[in-house]
Amino acid sequence: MKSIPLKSDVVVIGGGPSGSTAANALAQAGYDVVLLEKAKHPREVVGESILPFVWKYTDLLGATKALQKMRFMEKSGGTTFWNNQLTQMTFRDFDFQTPALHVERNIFDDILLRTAEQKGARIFEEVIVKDLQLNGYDNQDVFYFDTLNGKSGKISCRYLVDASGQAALVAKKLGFREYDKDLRFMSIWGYFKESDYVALGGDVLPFSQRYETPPTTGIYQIGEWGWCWQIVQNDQVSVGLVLSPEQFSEFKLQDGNLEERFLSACRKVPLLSDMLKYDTLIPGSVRAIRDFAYYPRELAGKGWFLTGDAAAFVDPINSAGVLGGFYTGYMAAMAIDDSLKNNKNRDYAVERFSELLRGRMAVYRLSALPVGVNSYQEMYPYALSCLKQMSDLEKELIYTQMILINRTENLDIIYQLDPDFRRLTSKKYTLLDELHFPASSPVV
Amino acid sequence: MATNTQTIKDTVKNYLMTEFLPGEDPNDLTDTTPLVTGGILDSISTFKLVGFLHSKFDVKLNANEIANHLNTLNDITDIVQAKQGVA
Ligand SMILES: Cc1cc2nc3c(=O)[nH]c(=O)nc-3n(C[C@H](O)[C@H](O)[C@H](O)COP(=O)(O)OP(=O)(O)OC[C@H]3O[C@@H](n4cnc5c(N)ncnc54)[C@H](O)[C@@H]3O)c2cc1C
Repeated sequence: MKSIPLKSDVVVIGGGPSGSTAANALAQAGYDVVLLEKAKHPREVVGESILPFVWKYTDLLGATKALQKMRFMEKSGGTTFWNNQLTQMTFRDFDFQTPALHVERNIFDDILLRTAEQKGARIFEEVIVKDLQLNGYDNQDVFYFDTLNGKSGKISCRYLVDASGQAALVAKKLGFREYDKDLRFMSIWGYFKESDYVALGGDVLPFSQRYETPPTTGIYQIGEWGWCWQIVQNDQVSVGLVLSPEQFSEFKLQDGNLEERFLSACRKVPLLSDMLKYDTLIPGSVRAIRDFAYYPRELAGKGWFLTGDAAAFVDPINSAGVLGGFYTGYMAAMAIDDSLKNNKNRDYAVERFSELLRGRMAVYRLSALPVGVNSYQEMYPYALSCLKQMSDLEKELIYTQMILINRTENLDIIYQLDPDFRRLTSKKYTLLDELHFPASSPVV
Repeated sequence: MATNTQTIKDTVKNYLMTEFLPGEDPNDLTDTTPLVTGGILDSISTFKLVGFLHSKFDVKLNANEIANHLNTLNDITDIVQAKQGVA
């Protein structure tokens, strides 16, 4: 059996999308990479709606073919019901040659991890990182517990990538993991064996038609602050509630166990409630997480980089979490490559990595934030510089997402910061009057 | 050490062609082709380009300069020269 070495160039903590990306890219660049993962993949994780940008990364990682083979559900776009307005967008309008997906994340993440291994990263699953010491450049110690042999150990490395997701080991260790004051949401989600879904044009179709007429991702507003997602996958439908603290207090007051409360909350969501088949909720599939949005004080330092959710996570509303994992994982790999090739670049690499991540996060945060709420004014300049580095297409897609959930006013301050920055626009969405439910079958 | 305009432009163009536009016709990449807004340079390639400018010409661009001065070959040449002048 392979054993964990005492040393490596890079240690990556966590084998989700961001860890697998960093490990893969660094292994391809010829470095000795060790990845430690607590779970045994395929492991459970939420977040199934995937933007079509991801294929750019899977090409770089050599994972595209393996992912295509799985035939994940292709989605055609998004449907929102927000402020009583139905709106749709489709990825076709954005020149993507590759599909957006609704994936089974356990399989998706497993493939990414195996691909990293094929590219030469040394993967050790069921190994829990317990502690770490960051001692400056070229000198990090990672302490772990190997559950397979019951032994503790230490591995030393030049660079550390923290891709531990919400566990956020480095940020917690250094004491700068901070809740996002403006996004203190709670999420409860579960999986149904089937449900009707909304197709482009507004037709509501039965689950059995999902291959002939692909689904859109459904996003339905709940009250003023909350919302709900509906994601049709190959063999199940993911439905999740995102609730404000007040809404969650109400949720807790309902009768019954978590599953029963989840179901009765679903029954109150306009439109969605008419599409669900309540008795097909998969027993034991309901999960909850609170305060998943974090605001990062620091994103990298002398010899360490934070990626994916371990760096920051905003809000699932724009389906950008997994994409962010790829992006930040890849950026960390490039920053480390640059640093290891040329010592004199390393401070600059830390600086640039931090600025880029901060910018990206600022943009996605603005696109998700309820209008008029922002406790972190210092983020605006970062958002501006990130937007300026985006292609017109990318900007248009984000802007369209903002239109769908009524967030475009958040950009006003950006325009004030730089009057020369061209206002974003988009015509790539359609307002719908109503959904077309199938005529109910005749009663026999 | 300052580098002359044409040398900077040629070096950068050569880098862009080999790294990000392999197989494309160099004549299609003019001094004013929009690189960022046109989607030739994304965030990853910009990151690489900035690293390249740093090691090649010894210039460090800050976030603001990266956001505002990399959209065309002319812009890049200007900012590299300006920064070298200061150094
Ligand atoms: C409610 C909700 C809904 C979401 N919906 C979407 C969506 O529709 N689309 C989307 O793109 N994103 C969505 N996201 C976000 C998305 O799931 C995450 O952004 C993504 O999983 C981040 O990837 P990652 O690699 O950073 O972390 P993860 O995928 O969380 O991976 C982290 C890994 O680290 C391992 N780990 C943790 N601690 C340790 C330790 N001590 N030692 C070793 N290993 C450890 C874990 O086992 C895990 O495998 C959603 C998030 C939430 C909270």
